[in-house]
Parts: sequence; structure tokens; C-alpha cells
Amino acid sequence: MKRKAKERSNAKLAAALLLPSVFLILLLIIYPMLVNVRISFFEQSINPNIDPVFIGLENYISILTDLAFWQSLGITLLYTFLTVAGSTVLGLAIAILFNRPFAFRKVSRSLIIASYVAPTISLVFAWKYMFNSGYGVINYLTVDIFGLFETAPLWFDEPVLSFVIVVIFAIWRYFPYAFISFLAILQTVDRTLYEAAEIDGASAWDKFKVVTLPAIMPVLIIVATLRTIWTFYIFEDVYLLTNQVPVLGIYLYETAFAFNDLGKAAAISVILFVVLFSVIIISRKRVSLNGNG
Amino acid sequence: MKKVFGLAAALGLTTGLAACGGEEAVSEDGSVTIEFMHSQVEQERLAVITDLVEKFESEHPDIQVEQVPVEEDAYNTKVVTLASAGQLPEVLEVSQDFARVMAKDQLIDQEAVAAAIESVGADNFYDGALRLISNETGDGYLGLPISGWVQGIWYDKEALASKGFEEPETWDEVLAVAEAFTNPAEDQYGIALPTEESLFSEQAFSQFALSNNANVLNAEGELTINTPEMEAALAYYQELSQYTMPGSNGVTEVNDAFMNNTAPMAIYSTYILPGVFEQGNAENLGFAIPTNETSAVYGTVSALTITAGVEDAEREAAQEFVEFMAQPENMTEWVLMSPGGAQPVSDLVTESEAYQSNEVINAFGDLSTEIASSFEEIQIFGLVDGQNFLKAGDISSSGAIPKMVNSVTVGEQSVEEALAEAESAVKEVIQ
Amino acid sequence: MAMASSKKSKTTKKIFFYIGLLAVLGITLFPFFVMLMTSLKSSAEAISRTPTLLPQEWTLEHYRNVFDPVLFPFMMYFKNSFIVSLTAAAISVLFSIFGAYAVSKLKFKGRATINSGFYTVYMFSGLLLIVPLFRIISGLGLYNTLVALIITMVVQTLPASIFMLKSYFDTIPDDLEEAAMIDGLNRIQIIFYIIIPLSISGIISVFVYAFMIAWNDFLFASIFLSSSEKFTLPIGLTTLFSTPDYVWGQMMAASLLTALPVLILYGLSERFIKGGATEGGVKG
Repeated sequence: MKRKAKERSNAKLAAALLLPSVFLILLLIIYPMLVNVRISFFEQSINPNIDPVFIGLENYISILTDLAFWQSLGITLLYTFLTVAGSTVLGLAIAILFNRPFAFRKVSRSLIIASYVAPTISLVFAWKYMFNSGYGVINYLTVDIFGLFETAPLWFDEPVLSFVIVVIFAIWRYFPYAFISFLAILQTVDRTLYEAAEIDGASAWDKFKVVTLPAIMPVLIIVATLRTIWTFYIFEDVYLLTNQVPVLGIYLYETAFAFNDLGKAAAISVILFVVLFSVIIISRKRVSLNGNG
Repeated sequence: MKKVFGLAAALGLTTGLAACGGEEAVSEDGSVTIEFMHSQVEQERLAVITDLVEKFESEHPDIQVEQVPVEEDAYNTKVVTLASAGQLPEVLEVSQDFARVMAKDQLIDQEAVAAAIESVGADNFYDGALRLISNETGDGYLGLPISGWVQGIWYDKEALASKGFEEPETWDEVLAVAEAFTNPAEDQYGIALPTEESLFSEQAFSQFALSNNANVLNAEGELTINTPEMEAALAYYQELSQYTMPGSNGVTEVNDAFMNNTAPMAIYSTYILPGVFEQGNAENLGFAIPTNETSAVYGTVSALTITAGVEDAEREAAQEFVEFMAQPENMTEWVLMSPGGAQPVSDLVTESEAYQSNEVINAFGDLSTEIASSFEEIQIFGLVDGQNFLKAGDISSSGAIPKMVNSVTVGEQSVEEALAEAESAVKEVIQ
Repeated sequence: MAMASSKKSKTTKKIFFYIGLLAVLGITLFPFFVMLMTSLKSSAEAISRTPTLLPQEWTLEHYRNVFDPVLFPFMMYFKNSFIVSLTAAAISVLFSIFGAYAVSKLKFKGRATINSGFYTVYMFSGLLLIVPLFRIISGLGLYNTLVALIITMVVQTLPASIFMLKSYFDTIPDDLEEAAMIDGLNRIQIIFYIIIPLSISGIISVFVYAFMIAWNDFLFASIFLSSSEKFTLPIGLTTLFSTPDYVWGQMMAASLLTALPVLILYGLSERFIKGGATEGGVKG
């Protein structure tokens, strides 16, 4: 009886606490989302005075039979995997490095997140400036000073090289997010646990596996999942850096805002939603099968 | 999940909410408010437009004009979003390319535009400018031209003279100069040429194609990308690209290479003038136009257009405002927001006292007149015998031409292959 | 002897640590170093064909231009951005503390549905939401207001903020709460006296995340705002970058000044973490 009553009062409280979030999300995410699902079955002009034409699955068919879409999907999945893995591992490593007292800790700690908080457009232009074939410092260092290359590589033109640069850029840009999230949780890990492990003669790796990893696991999952979602839809970073890496975000953007084909763009976003949903569900299942979920 | 979708019903409320989001009534006390969307976001330019708007409002006390300055990078996105909500401003500044895109979705009130141009007098504008903004059938306009820019080959007179060259006129002369100055070991190149996969490369290439009488469409509106003339132009561009900086060159690369003397020639728009003026090199700058079968200048106009489907009072006010902006003194102010960069589209501006006495215009002397008059020679892809095909907008949006240019200059693709690929890519878009 | 060697290994360890630290900072900050130096060079030197690491001639010209309201109303953009980001981040954090507490600590029917619902909606591309979103915003009469942007930024960050906070709250053991209840605290008091202090550094990282998203947003700001006196920093910044007569030094100066506030904010947040009882609360 008592338990039931408690649950009921809990439910009431939960409803009250969740109300603002749920209301805003319903109104400003779910409703627009449903609108998009609807128009994905229409040929929709951007002129509201031209009536949309119902075309059934035509938008979906034209996307799924488009080779460019599949290529783009492949590139995006690889890009997402490398970026998420790279930025999460790097962020974690640096968080562990920073999780101790040392001189200039405060200053270092805020400087290290600089790449995360600076506006994308600034960072992209700074990189392009550094890689410029005429006056860029990268070519100057690698060719003229260190002689690593005879002639400077075409950084943003060779598809593989551009892909590598775009991935490195994303890891560099986004690792601080993982860093601050991990640093926050690492600070809650009890020091005595490490001491106890040390007494047992555990190596650094053992300590990481036995103490650190279980403690940070929930945050790790969240960080990796969120970063996957964000990276999957990445647009601006890649679009501004190079034309050689056609990720899905660009495909989507161009369909909607260069070709003004809102119906097809909506269909793309529905398909991508399904893809992303499956990717995340499958990978989360695997994580929980491994027993750490 | 079931619950989430169950909530869809509750959203009927929000749908209703969104639906009643029409614009406010036009007139309460007989006064009309119109919006004017333009891309002049810089503070100094905004100040000029604000002055113009105030002047207009004092002449028309019953009309208020609200400015909607939009950053270039967001222009498309904003127009698409506002248009879908039926909230497009009454007056918009558009490029010729964008005008075509809007016309395709029937967003332009061509009658109102025609009336505005008629009341100002069509013969007050350069023919070249009006041609660029004419509609598909050639009997109307998509906007009223207000300014423009032209693109050609800029060269360093002294540098060219040092090796005994004069202004390069033909394809071969351009090639000869470019070859003579190229020395990659010392980071010296003959010409700063756009090779990036962007509109800039399409614009540069179009000058060579059109100077060889190669257009993307013929007079019947049929696709003519893969023709011997186009092939010759692309092969020439590929040859010329040996003498430019390695890698994909875009706006910054081309501009910076010319400004820091990496290359004595560059293909760029008139927006190179302000920088050259600041360096104090105005007198040393030359302007050449690619010429083979004919000469072809690339250029764009920026035009004011009136949105379709607005109420009569707003429409009249919009027309009134566009006509006001087309007055020579107002157009002059608009053009002089970026002196040198923006070019007049009317003799009345070019010859006006205010324009002639501007220090930047003055510094370039005869060159200023030469550039202004080159407006008559403008040719662009998709404009054939006075017909401005709307599908040229789609060809451009497809990005097939920049890709083609990039793949034969920076990439290793052969000219034939690139042409064939571009042709099939464009076909897919225009069906 | 043993003591001495362990001391020695401690010193080498320390040296290695500082070398590692310097390497990490050096690599990640190198682009910023280039930006800073470029912002202090003359325009000609910025594109000089032999790049210089340090300016040959130092100039503050670009900073003066960035702060000259006739050329670039930096302070106006800054103010707008600051209002939007601070408000949006504060609301997002507050709502998500409530939401995360509910899904983390309260047992009720439908908890799993709500939780996975948040996840699910977040997987839909934000880009395409903008067209219908704009209709709602203008339907509510919020077009061209900072409020429109604040609401959008709150919604954009809410799902992620809730997930992140939930994962921090999950590490707080339930017996701590039960003990507090026995002491007579109600749920709301528990949130403010127990949960928030114990996860303060998690909350700060969520705040930084939300602030940063709002601070750097260009897409929504450029659509939802129409008059120039409401513009935010990213719009102003893009203006500098996409003119054909751009100036490298000015672009770099403005970029650095835009990044600075968030860095300072995060730097200052250390104090709160020290103040909060982060140690000892969580015992396994």
C-alpha cells in the first residue's frame, strides 16, 4: 500500500519536473518532426501558394536509388566512427592526465577547451590559412624547414588526405567536450579506491580497468552516443573545409537549401533518422551485452 | 514509443497555433510597412542604406521600410524558410542566379518589377545589365538592376612590362605571359586562377567557354555542355592551370596570390580594386578580357525584386520604394558603398559627379570607365540570344561545372571524361 | 636507498608529466597561436610568402578596428550573444536538472518511455526542423526577438543536457537521499541541497556545453533575427569572413575575442567545483 502511494506521488512529482522539458520538446521538436514526415511524401514547393503534390514514396525511391546517397552514407559512417572514437579516447586520456593537482592547472584546463568553444568558421579559416599553398605555415614547416615533402601535398584536394584532415580536425575540435565531461566524473571517483588497488600491486592499466572505467562508464556511453548523433549530421565543419568529403549533412543541406526540394530533404532526414536509430540501438545492445551497460 | 505518437493528437493545438501565424494587417492608420531584405550586413553599408530608407520615408510618410539585412551565407536558407512560411519580405536584393531560382518557384511579381523599370525608363540601364536579369521569354524582367560587378583578368602592368609584355588579349597571349612568369621552385606563378570546386571556378571558366562561343544551352534550350567548343575551352583552361598555384584555389587564394606578388595576373572580380587601392598600386593595375572567337566578360548584377502574392497596398509601396532606389543619386550611393568593387549599371551613375569624384574611382582613372563599359560585353551561361533560361539556375545549383573544372585542373581527369560526366550529372538534374 | 629511488622516480614521473602536458597544450593550441600572431601582423605580412612566426612589426590596428563601432559593433553583438547564451544555458540547465532528476531518481510508470523518447527525438536532423519551427516562432509573434533564439537554444540543448545530467545523478547513491529524507528534507530540498552540490562539476560541464551551443549558433540566429541591432556574434563574424575584400588580421582578432568569454567562464567555474562537496559523497 505504502509503496503504491509513494509511487503515485513520485509520478506526480516526476510529471511536474518533466513538464517544462517535455512541453518544449513536443512543441518545438516533435511537432516539426512530424511535419517533416508528412512532407516527405509530397512534392513541396517553397512557395506556399503552390499546392504540394502527393507523390507517395517517390522521394524515398529517388534517394535510395541514388548512388551518391550510399557513397555519402558510407563516408559518413566511417567519419563518425573515427571521430567519435578518436575524440572520446583523446578526451578521456587528457582528462586522466589533468585529474591531479599541478602547477598552472586552472589556466591549462581552460586553454585546452579553446578549440571546442571557438566558432567553427574561425577555426576552419585558421586551418585553411595554415595549410595555404603559398604562405601557409604548415607547408613552410614541412617542406622548407624540415624537408618532409619535396613539394607540398594538396591537403584539401586529394580525397584520402582531405578525409584524414577532416577527421583530425573533428577530433581536435571536439575532444574537449569529452574532456570536460570525463573530468567532471573523474573528480567524483574516490581516491582511496586507487590506493587500495595500488596496495594490491595493480598496474596503471589495471587501475584504469578496475577503478576508472566502471566509474565513468555511464558518462562514457552518453558522451559517445551524443557525439555519434552530432557527428552523423555534421555539416558546417566539413562543408567549409573541403569539397572532397561529401558527408550526409552536406547532401541534406544542398537538397533543402540549394535545390529547394523540401520534400526530398524531409525524406532524407527520415531515412537518416532510421539509420542512426538502428546504429545506436545496435551498438548500445552490444555494450550492455558486454556487461557494463 | 506508442505514447510519443499518441501525443501527436495533442499537437493539433500547435498546428492551429502555427496556422494563424499570418502577417499582421497591412494598414491600421492607412500606413503601410514593407520589409526590405538585402545582403549588406557591414556596419558602414547599413548606415548608407538607413539614410536612403529615411530619405524615402520622409518623401512617403505613409510607408515604413524595415530593413532585413541577411548574411550572404544564410541568404538561401533564409529565403527558403521565410518563403515557406509566406513571410518573404516585399522587396529583396537578389543576384541574377538567385532571381532565376526564385522565378522558378513563382516568387517574383514580374508585373510589378516591369512597372517599376518602365517608370524609371529601361534605357537608363546598361543593356548588359538588363539582359542578365531578363526573364525566360525575354519580354520581362526578374528584378530592377541596381549595381553589379564584373570579372576579368587583372594584371600587374610593371611586372608584365619587365618581361616585355603588354596587355594580353588573346588566349595565346595570356598563355604566353603565364608561362613566362611561372617558376614553382620560387613560388612564382603566371596567373592566379580559380580551380576550387565552387561557383567561382564556374564563373572563371565561363569566360573562356563563352569567348569560344560555347554555352551550356542553345537557343532552343537544349543542353550543349559536351560540344567541341566547350571541349576546346576546357582544354585551354586545363593548360592554363599549369601556371597557377597548386591545389584548389578559391577566392582567398587567388586574391592573396595577386596581392603578395605570387602571380602577376589573376582572374577576379572588381572587388580586387579596394585592396589594390589600399596598397597604393592603383595606377599599376590593368584589366584584360579573355578573347578568342569573341570577348567574354563575366559579371553579375544585383537587382531589387518584388515578391509575388503580397497585398495591393504593400505591392504599391514596394514598387514605390524600388523606383526610389533606382533614382540616379540613390543608385550612386548604393554603388559607392563599396567603391570600385560594386559597379554602376547605369550611365546616369557612371557619369554622375558624385561617382566621378570618389577617391577610389578617381585613383583608377580611365580604368574605371573601361571596367564600367565592359558591362555591355557581359555574357553568362544560360543566357542565349536574349533568352535567360531558368533551368540554367538548376545547372548552376547542380555544381557539375565546378566539379568538372576542378577535376581537370587539380584532379587528373581527362577533358573528355570530365565533360561527359558533367553532362550526365546535369541531365539528371534538369531531366 | 629505497626512499631515494622512489623520490627519483617521482621526479622523473613529474618531468614526464610536464612534458606530456606541454606537448598536449602545444599541439592543441598551435592554431590559436597562429591566429593570435596573425591578428597582430600587418595585412601585407599576413600573406607574406615567407611566413613569419612572430610579427616583424606588431600592430594593434585590427583590434582597434574590431572595437570601432562604426566599422564593427562588437560590443552590441557581444551583448546580444551574451544575453541569449547566458539565459538559454541557465534555463536549459535548470529544466534539465529537474528532468534528469525525475528520470534518474524517481520510479514511475513510463520512465523508460520518456527516457528513450528524449533519445529518439534527438536523432532527427536539426537542420530540417527549421522550416516548421520558423512557422511556430512567427505564429507566436516571436520573429526577430532574442526570446525566439533563447527558446530554440534551450530546446536544442535540452535532450543532451538531460542525458548528461542523468548520468551524473546516477552515480549518487540512493541511501544518501534516504538519509536526507529521514532528516526531513522533501524532494525539492534534496535536489537543491544534495543533488546539485554533489554533481556541481557535471552541471558546470552541461552549462558550458549549452552556453557554447548558443554562443556559436549561426543558423538559427540568421533565420530568427532580422534587424541588425539584434544580431549575435557569429553573424557579425561571418560578415568579416565572407566579404570579397576581407582582412585576415581582423578576422583573427574578432575570432579570438569571440572565443575568449567561454574560456574565462570555464576557468572561473573551477571555484564552484572547489566550493562544492565533490569528494566523499560518492562511496561505492
